[in-house]
Amino acid sequence: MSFKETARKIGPVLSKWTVKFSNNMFVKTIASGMARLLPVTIVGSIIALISSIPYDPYLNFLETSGIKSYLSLGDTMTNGLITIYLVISLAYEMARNYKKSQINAISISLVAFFILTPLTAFTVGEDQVLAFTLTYLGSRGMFVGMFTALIATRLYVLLMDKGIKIKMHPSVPPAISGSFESLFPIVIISLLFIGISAAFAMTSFGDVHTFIYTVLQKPLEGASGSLSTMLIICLVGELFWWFGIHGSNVTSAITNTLYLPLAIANAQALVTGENAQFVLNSYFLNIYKGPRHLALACMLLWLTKSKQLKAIGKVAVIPGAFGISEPMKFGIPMVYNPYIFVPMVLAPMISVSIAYFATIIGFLPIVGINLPWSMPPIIGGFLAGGFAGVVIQVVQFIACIALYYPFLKLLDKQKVREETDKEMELKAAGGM
Amino acid sequence: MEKILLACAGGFSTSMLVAKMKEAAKEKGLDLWIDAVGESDIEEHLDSDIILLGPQIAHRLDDLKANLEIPVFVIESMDYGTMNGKAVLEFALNNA
Repeated sequence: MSFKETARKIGPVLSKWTVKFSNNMFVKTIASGMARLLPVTIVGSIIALISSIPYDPYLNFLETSGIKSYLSLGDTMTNGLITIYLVISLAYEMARNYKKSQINAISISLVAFFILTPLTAFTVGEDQVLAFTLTYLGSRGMFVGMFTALIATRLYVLLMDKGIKIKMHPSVPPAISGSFESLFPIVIISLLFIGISAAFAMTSFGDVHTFIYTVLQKPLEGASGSLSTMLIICLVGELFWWFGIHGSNVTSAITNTLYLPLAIANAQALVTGENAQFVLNSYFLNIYKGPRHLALACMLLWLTKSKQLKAIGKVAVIPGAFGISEPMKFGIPMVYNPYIFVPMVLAPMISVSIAYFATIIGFLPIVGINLPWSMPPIIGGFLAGGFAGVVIQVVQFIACIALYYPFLKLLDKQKVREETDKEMELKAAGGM
Repeated sequence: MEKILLACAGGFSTSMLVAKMKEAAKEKGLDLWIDAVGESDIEEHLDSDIILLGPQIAHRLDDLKANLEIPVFVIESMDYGTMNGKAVLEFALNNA
């Protein structure tokens, strides 16, 4: 069986699998719920950007003028409370998908989350104060927030569907019994989470947060910190695209779960002036996946002879600068194209590796700023990493061109041959 | 025929095609509502006469067909790649 035939067989299977995976209610909720955090993380990122411009007189001015403390406020209320926003958007998305009351789902999820979150008691003057420590509400609490919102909302939906009925005296107005019935799920779920909280208090962990952080979040941070994990994510995303399936959408639930908490921790570190820790994170991926679309579009415009490829280049170059590749994916087409397979799959992996090693050796600053994936290269690189960021994106651009060049030349030759054959045919037909 | 809805993953690349289709509609003297959305927002536009999907979300076709009463099609991928607004508009007019 030829390469192409095999690919045509795999495609539909993959497509079926994609539907199954992306239709899973938890995956769907995480993917779209995380995306809804964008406004909050962008505000946090702008503040991180303003507070981390590496110019000492400026930084001193921020400190002495007191502006710094206001910037910190903006950071604390966005990234510092990210888990609260996460719980809200996940509960909202899941309830929306199940067509149940969104406000009830949000309320019950928040109640459940706060029940699980330890309170700290301390004394101010003569008063005893109970408070939530911000640690649990920021990036460190995201896994607990995620589980809580998903479980609480799913239970709420389940209990609403089951419709616990209460038998009341027939003379009780139906609206009254109805209002009791809708309260039931909320009461049951709250009691359940109080039970969970009490159960964990008896373990050596003391609370759910410490448990999840120790057994899940910390080990996962190790896994996602390794370059190979991110390369595999890039590979899978690109493979999907080669089969014509919107890849990043499929992988975004996984990518964000692994890498968003790390990105937000970095953003907070930038504001407080600590060293950001996590080289690989979701903001890093947004910026340094590489200007491969723009590179390819430029090559189509200036380095090909085929009329069709040049025409696609014209359509694709401006969208390509904004990270949109569909004209090339379906116009060249790249989809199912054996010539394109190797460079297409390798391009983001090579770009990510370049940026990774540039960061490891200390040339590139660690990314803690969220820029939309549609941010054009050079500008994106500058905002995230200053001149080093620009340099890296230029290097990536050149690497993408070098990688694509031999393969694109072969494809171009093939296309030119087809085009001249067609012209000859037309001429012959016209001459008859 | 009044409302044509295009959808892809985030509504970005389809919005380019929408612009081209609007041009084509203007040339024909047609007054149509044409817009693009992300796939998760399709259900907010159930008054559309036809829904056209970007080929990159073709895997959603069966599911949407089963759940919606509106005709749903996948845009021909070459028309999509070349952003051929005229051809896609023609297709929509013939199939709604």
